[in-house]
Amino acid sequence: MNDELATASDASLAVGVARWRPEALAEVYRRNAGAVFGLAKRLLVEEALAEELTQEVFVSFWQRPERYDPARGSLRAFLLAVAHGRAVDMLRSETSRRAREQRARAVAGAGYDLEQEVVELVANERVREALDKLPETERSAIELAYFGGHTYREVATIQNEPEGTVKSRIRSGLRRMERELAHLSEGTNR
Amino acid sequence: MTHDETETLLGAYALDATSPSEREEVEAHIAGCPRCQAELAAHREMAAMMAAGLGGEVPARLWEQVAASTFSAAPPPAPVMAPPLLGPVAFRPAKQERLGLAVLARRARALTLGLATAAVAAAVALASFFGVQVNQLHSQVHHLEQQVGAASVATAAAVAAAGPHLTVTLAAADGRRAATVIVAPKGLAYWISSSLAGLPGSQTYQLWGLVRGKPVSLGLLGPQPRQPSSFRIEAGTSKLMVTAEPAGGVPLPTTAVLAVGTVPAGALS
Repeated sequence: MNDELATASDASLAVGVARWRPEALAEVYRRNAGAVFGLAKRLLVEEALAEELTQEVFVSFWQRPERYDPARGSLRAFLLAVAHGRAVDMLRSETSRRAREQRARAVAGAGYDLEQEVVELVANERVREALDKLPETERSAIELAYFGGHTYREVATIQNEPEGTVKSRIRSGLRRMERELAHLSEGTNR
Repeated sequence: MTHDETETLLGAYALDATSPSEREEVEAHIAGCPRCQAELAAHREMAAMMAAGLGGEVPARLWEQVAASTFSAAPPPAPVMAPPLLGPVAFRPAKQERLGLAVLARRARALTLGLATAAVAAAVALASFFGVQVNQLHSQVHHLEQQVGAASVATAAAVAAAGPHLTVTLAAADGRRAATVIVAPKGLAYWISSSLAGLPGSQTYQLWGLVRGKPVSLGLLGPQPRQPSSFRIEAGTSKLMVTAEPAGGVPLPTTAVLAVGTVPAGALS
């Protein structure tokens, strides 16, 4: 096995990709394809679309590795942000408007079990704990936006709350989780 | 948009939950605001942690598709990769029609960072590899599997790279990377990228394995060894080497080694 690559930092993998090293892209893919594909599938539902999107994410990283700035976070966060943004664009595009309306109606209607799905999906115990500790309204706003691909305005409609409130909830919920996880990691480091 | 207005939108922005016009306004502000950049980065990491648990089974064909649309279209490194020690051999710049100039320039900038000027004439030292007495001259000289199509070889190489494999880097005499070879289990190997300069048509690059101290021809790479190709290496191969030889190849190296890489012991058992 290639130990050097397996332990390479995000920054050095990005440099490897910038130098057209296929094995660097293979390693980036090995580390992140699962999460990218999982998120794409969660948002787009249709497997073929999720595959297309995943492919697009890695091909565009191969073509434009300089878009990733290691100073601004992990490569995984970058790739997932690209994937999420693209998935949401696809969801919001004109062609899928009808499907979107149906989806929104289903969400607004009874029996929307996104929350349960997310509990099952968020495998990392610490992240799930942090999510569980959030006030209910913050948690569902984050889940609807991130895993449901809804805008905060749509979330406001679903939750029947003012837009400004939802906007603040998403931010305060994220910050609360960040503090919680920082606190947890301090605890385990001691 | 003011700092305060932007700040309240950062969470929604990080989750792609704003309208397109809000997105633009947030981006315009963030570009010049380190505090917002830091907060956004934290939100994105948080989102990524939530998504990390979504990792399920990824269809194997997906990597093949990624590999097919990347490696097969990958151009040679930009011409800042000066030819390795080729002596009197003429240098022909590589073809670059596949990439836009801007991309090439960008890659070139990235590449020059790690490259010192070639100056070392250590080929002489490397040539001593061939000081060994060789009795059996019946090395097979054949072309590598380029004719089956570079794209399919690239795909196969990419599949190999996604599984257990070794990467052997062939370095030129001055230490710069001249080529990369992926070795899959059972000795199936792929020549996947190279910065070797083009040779005149009367010459070819030839790939050699050093097997128990003796060079064995692994095949001809042609005068422009940019395309992926595949070959096999036998157990006991300790080095991979490249020389420039007359077209048609030779049973034993006749010129200095241009690039050499070590195959880890036990890798092919």
